[in-house]
Amino acid sequence: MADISLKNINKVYPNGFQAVKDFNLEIQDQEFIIFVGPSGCGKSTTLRMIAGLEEISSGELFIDGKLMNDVEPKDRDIAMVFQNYALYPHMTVYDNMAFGLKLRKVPKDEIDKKVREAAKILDLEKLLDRKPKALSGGQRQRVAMGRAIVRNPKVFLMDEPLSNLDAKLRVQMRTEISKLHDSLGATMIYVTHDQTEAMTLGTRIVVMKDGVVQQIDTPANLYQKPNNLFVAGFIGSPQMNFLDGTVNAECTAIQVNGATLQIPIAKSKALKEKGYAGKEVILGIRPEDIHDSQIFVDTQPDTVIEAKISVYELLGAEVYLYFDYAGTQVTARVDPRTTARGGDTVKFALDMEKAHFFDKDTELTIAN
Amino acid sequence: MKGTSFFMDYESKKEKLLEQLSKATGINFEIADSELSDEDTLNKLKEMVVRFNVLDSKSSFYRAFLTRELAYSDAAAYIHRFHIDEDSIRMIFYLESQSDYSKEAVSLLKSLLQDSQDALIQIDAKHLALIVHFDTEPSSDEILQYCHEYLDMLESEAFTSFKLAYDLPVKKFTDLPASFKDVVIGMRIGNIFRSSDHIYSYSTLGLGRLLFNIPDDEVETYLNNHINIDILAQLDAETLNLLEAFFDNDLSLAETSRKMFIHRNTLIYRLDKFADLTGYDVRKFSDAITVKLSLMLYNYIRATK
Repeated sequence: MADISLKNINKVYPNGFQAVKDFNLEIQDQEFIIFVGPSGCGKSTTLRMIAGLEEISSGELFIDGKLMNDVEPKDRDIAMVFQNYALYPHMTVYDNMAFGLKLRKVPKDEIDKKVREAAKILDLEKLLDRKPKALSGGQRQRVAMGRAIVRNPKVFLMDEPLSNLDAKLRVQMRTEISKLHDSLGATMIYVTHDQTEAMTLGTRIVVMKDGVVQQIDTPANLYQKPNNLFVAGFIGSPQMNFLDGTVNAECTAIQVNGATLQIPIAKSKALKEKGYAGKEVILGIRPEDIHDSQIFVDTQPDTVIEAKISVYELLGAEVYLYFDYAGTQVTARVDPRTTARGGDTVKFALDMEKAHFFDKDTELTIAN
Repeated sequence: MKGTSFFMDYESKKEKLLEQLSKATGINFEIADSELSDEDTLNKLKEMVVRFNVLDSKSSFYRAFLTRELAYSDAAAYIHRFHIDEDSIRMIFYLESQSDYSKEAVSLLKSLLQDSQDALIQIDAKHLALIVHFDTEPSSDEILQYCHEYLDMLESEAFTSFKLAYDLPVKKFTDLPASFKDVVIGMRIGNIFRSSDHIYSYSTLGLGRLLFNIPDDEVETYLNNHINIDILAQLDAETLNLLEAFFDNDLSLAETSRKMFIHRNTLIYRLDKFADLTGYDVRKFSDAITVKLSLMLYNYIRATK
């Protein structure tokens, strides 16, 4: 398998649009790296540059220490799996998996060995004689994966491979891809716009926006210690709530919509040291860190806000309560045993130990 | 001696060409009387052989028909010979590769075609056309799915990056050449105005189709009268992305900030900054039109110069 190194990679299209800016990343052998970000953030373009399907405008790409910028895609020892897994309609599953190797004149017995090995890994052995029309969506996707596996590549590149599947199948295939990574021990780079997919699959995640890397970190660190407002808002569902507020002169409390919320010592210290005394900042608080239970409200009287619930959503294991506060829609994720309902005015305690503070202009994190 | 040699050469070449012509057409020809010189006769025979040989496959027939080298009035025999159903609904998918495409790419595409009515045409070293027939008219989503499947398959299996242009399905066989012309132009327009995309639908290229026909000097005059080229050149990718998103979301601040994952105030700040730089506030519809047009024309200028 392979180490991959991207150094100062840029992509500029003929119309001047810069899709990727100064991308730097070191990927270790057998890592499962996720590129995540909203549509148009440059994640697929970066993947395509690694594959050789897009020319690198500037910068250097190394695979296993070899400069790859001018190496043809077919000679990079990679395999790709995309969202649209067209299968050859007239061919059996076996032939669909073997076709690419046949075109490359791989000996017949070697093809047979590789196809049967891949079929075993993907649990397709009993389906090898079937035609694509007799397969389910998940089985078709596995055949597409099989076509990549038979190449025995150094690196697997996957671009939103599950986007065409329904929600249930997507969850199932997510698990299968994770198992596949473990069993193949391959280096994998996976592109998705779905932060849940990113969080559950990746050993490290690259969050991108407007062609710029925002943060490269483990899933847990991205969630708990986002670098900036964008990462904080993008990772997590429902997304983090953001409230405009003003820090007091001592940095011990923040004034939000008339409510005074106490700031824990460590965060207070960071705010003071970075010169935010008396300044406007953005307070970030995740939905699960807003509590409506009486015990929490009683024990945290210095972090309480009051709001009228606009929507009550029961999801089974949890309840989402939506309310407007300081001109922003806020979401609280609370216990399903809550008695709060739409139209009720409720006291919420914010767990300020888990709060995040962002600079209003630069949107960079001040304290996590 | 030279004349004898040429004569022998002429006779053997003539016989060879007549033999080839006979093979291609199934008819035995002989030259009884001709006003042409020997050299012209050979050239004429060569032309006939090439013509018959070139059109001796469905693919070469389609190529000649799509490029209007062969008129519909001359196509009847081929339509019959290749069992082409003229009443089918058809679509042309026009593919352009970054570099010369490989034999693998051709084999892959041929393997994806589902029906004998479908055809793959090798236009030149970088361009391929797929003629695909449908029993019922495909929806726009289905068409897009086909496009993605072709491109993803070519990239993952043949390791070749292609762009694809398509037009609306045609119901009359005689409309195919016009549709082909549209997809070829669609590819050119797409490459100018949407060069970072991979799929272009001729029917949705909208303003691009109109602007494509404006003379260069008119374009420059328009830009100089509105947003100067030098100012447009200063805009960074982030601003361009934001403007595009703002236009795509019908000038909605809320929707754009939501889709771009940025705070509403940040969006307002950036639009204000753009207004300060250019004098155009894209939150106003008339200014938005000017900016949209200017950006497109600027791309056109950059791509064509």
